[in-house]
Amino acid sequence: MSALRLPATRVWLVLIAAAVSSWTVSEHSTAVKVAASAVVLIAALKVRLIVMHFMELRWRPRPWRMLFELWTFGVTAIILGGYWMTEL
Amino acid sequence: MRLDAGEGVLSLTTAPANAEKDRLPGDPGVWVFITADVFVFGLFFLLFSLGRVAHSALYERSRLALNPTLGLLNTLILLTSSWFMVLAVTAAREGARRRVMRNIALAMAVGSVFAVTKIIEYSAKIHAGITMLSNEFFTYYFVFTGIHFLHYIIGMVVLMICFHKAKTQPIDGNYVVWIESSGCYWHMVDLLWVVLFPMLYLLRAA
Amino acid sequence: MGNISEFKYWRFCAWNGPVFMFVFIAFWGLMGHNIPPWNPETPAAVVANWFRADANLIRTGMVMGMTFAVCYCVWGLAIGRVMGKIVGKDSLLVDLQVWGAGLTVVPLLVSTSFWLAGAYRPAALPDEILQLLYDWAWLLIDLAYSVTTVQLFAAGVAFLQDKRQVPLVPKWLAWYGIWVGFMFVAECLMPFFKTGAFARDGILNFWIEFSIWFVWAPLLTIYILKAITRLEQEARV
Repeated sequence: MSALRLPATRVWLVLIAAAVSSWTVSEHSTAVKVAASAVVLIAALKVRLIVMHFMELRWRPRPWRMLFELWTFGVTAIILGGYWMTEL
Repeated sequence: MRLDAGEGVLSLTTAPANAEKDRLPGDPGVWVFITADVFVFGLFFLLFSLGRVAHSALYERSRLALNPTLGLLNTLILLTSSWFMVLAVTAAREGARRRVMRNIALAMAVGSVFAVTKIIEYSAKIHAGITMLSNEFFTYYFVFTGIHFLHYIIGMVVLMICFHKAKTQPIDGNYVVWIESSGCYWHMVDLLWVVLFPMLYLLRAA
Repeated sequence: MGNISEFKYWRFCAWNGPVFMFVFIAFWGLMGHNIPPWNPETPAAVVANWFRADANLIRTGMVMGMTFAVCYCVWGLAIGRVMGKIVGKDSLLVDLQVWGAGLTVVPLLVSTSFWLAGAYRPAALPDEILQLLYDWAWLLIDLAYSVTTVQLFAAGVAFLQDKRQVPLVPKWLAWYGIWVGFMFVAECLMPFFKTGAFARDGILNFWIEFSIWFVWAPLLTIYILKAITRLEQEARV
């Protein structure tokens, strides 16, 4: 079975694209605050993809899925919150 | 393969053929390890964020000394290595020994580059006179990426064990549990870096 | 196996664990001003004056701490017996756990003796010497972590091999113990920092490191005691 046709490959391509775009956005964007926030949100999305698809939590018991979703949300909120608080 | 039922419009993957909905992939005990680790790192992220609020000028000044390109490279390396592990687990579920071994080997080969870039990065800093005692930002930078690096090393050892087992033991149910557990641990190493990278390298102050 | 009444000794030894924990929290921890320890940037004069003002309280705390330090080893021996029923009593893992528990007594005994020494005739000693005694004790307690890590790893690995339908000690607890053993490595940072999360009173190197161990020990004791009861019943049959 060719690796290129596997669904996991689609996820990997999305992850790579996200990583590169967040680096691009942060380094070459003028709207700095928005760019930095976008970067963190992209990271959150990537984490979710890894947890749900690579770790396969998407098809697993609900409590674990919820725990990791909460973690992702919490960590994103902490980092974004910390970032925006300094800009005030 | 079963298709997952109505989990949203964008369905990137389908449920793996042997996925049992009532249990976690791999050994459930490994998830204790993974969960504990991610929560400790969550605390690290909190410490960093609080520090950044208190000393934003210092953090920004220090951040500029980091190399985001190397950081990006590290991210791409770990993501790709993780992908190979996903392929290895799929192969294991199908009992395909050679494909398992090939994918683990690729995961390790790609993963090993992380160590090279990390050593290059750390030596550059140290040559420039920057250490974990230089200031608070660099304390967190070295300690968090350092602890992450220790996790990475453990992960590489785990992958080596997986490879060795695939070579010498049957690719049976027990092996699948092993490789699923190892894969999940490796994905954790990956996802922690996915958060560390933007947090340390990319949060540009306006 | 031998005498069925051996189990009552196993049980007694297992109870040494909670005794140790209680004594250490009450006497070493509270009386010894160790929860949390003095921040490293506290001036020597402050630490010295504490030794002088609270000398008898400290002496009492340390005397009790030193007397009961050995309970940790006794507890480890009970754990070793249960491990023996899983991996065989000749297994190296049993030895590693027992030695780990035994060697953990060393930093406990020695560090409490330093505090005791400081409280013995504090008026005659300069502030910096008293500070040194306090610092030295903490450096020893924190950096001796690897002897306890050996215990945690050996116990974890053994319990993971339990083939019983209902394991004597649950697998998640075995994994948790292994994780705690790894986490202790962060103590390596402690000597480099006088303030912040990695200092001896910091959120990581004090609060987290000690808490995670204090979750493992009582939980393990509960399961060890239950295991002893099960093994006793099995032996009667």
